[in-house]
Amino acid sequence: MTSEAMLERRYRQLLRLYPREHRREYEEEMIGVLLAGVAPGRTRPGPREVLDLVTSALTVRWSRRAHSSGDGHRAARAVQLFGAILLLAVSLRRVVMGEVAALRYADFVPHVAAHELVRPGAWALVLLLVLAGWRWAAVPAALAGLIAEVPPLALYRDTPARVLDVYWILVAAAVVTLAGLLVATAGRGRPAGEGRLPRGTAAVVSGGLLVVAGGAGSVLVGGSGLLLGGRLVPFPVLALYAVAGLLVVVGVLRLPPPVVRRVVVAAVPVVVAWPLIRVGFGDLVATNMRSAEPALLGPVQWTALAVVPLAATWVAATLNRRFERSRTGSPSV
Amino acid sequence: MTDTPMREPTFLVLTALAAGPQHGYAVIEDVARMTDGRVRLRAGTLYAALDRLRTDGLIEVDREEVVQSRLRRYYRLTGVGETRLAAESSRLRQQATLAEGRLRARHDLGGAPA
Repeated sequence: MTSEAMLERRYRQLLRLYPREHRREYEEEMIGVLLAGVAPGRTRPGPREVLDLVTSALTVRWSRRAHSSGDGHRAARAVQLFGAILLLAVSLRRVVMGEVAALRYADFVPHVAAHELVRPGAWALVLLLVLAGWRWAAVPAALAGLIAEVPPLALYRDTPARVLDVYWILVAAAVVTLAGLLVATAGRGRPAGEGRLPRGTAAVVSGGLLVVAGGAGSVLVGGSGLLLGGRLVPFPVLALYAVAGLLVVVGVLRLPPPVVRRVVVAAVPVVVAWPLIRVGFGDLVATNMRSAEPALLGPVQWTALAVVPLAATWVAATLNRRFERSRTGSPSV
Repeated sequence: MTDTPMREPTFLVLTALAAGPQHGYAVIEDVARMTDGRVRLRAGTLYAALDRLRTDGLIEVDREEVVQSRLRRYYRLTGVGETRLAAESSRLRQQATLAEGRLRARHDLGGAPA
């Protein structure tokens, strides 16, 4: 193989980072430009070239997604709005639980500390900004919500399982932040009807309210129940959560089918968090419950926490793209 | 159409194409020449810009040819691209004029550092 052929092969490998449609349109042309003026005998792309191709490929992917069909944008909006509503509900639930417990057992339980209000405050701010149409401002607000959800290092060192308990919330917060970024960068690619709330919002808000009510109920209602996340959740409260979940599903299903499929793809990393923690980290949690000395997460476990949601999302997105291609005969954007 | 300031590579690509249709590598060379070598566009940056400009209707494909078995595609400025480039040039000129005026006033008032 000649040096130019080797170089070309390596450039083509790098160009695989671009979306298929972009490659179809520009690959041959780009190869021509990349090979033009190359010093004889060179077999590898330079580091700056590699960096340029990698960052440009990511930019193109991101920009195509942001300027994608109305369905992609509507899905990002729905994920941002519904996600912020649910994250607000979950964070309020914790505050309500703490406050109801403080009122009921005034002698034993202190009132909720002011810093506990940062999380619901951040998600409420995201909601307000989204409703006001301040798309860019909603992004740092969501990032603040995400950061507020990260447990303090001291808590992790003391009780690593508590970190695993909120892992799905962190993933959900990251998804909502990314969806907000997509919405903000969409610019003029926004479809008609941008100002209106997505269909199904009322159902999701109702679901959120039930989640908050469940927080109060879990303190006030006694009796038998199921042990979830280290807490006994009474059956009536479980029923409340089930109805809340059903309402969220109904809310999502009210969106157009292509939007629903994209919302489901976005929900996949959050959904896989539960089996990931149960199956992958059950032993660690059990060890920590038995031992006085906490067992911390190892590099493999940290990697799994980072990679599994990404891989699951990639699989779901690929399946959705194939499904849409098989229906329309053309690639989805 | 956005009224936000243009990024420099975008402005330079449009400026290169204002002279007439050019293919990708010629745009890179032209931009390097126009900027005295200060800006050397790389293929990834160039084609991300060309793709965006085509999507926005600021440029379009003029013609294609095959040279030494390699595809060469020529791009040209559209009417929209010409208007946008003119608007951006005017904006930059106004800013430059403003800066020059203030620098002159600073010198006239003796505020310049010794």
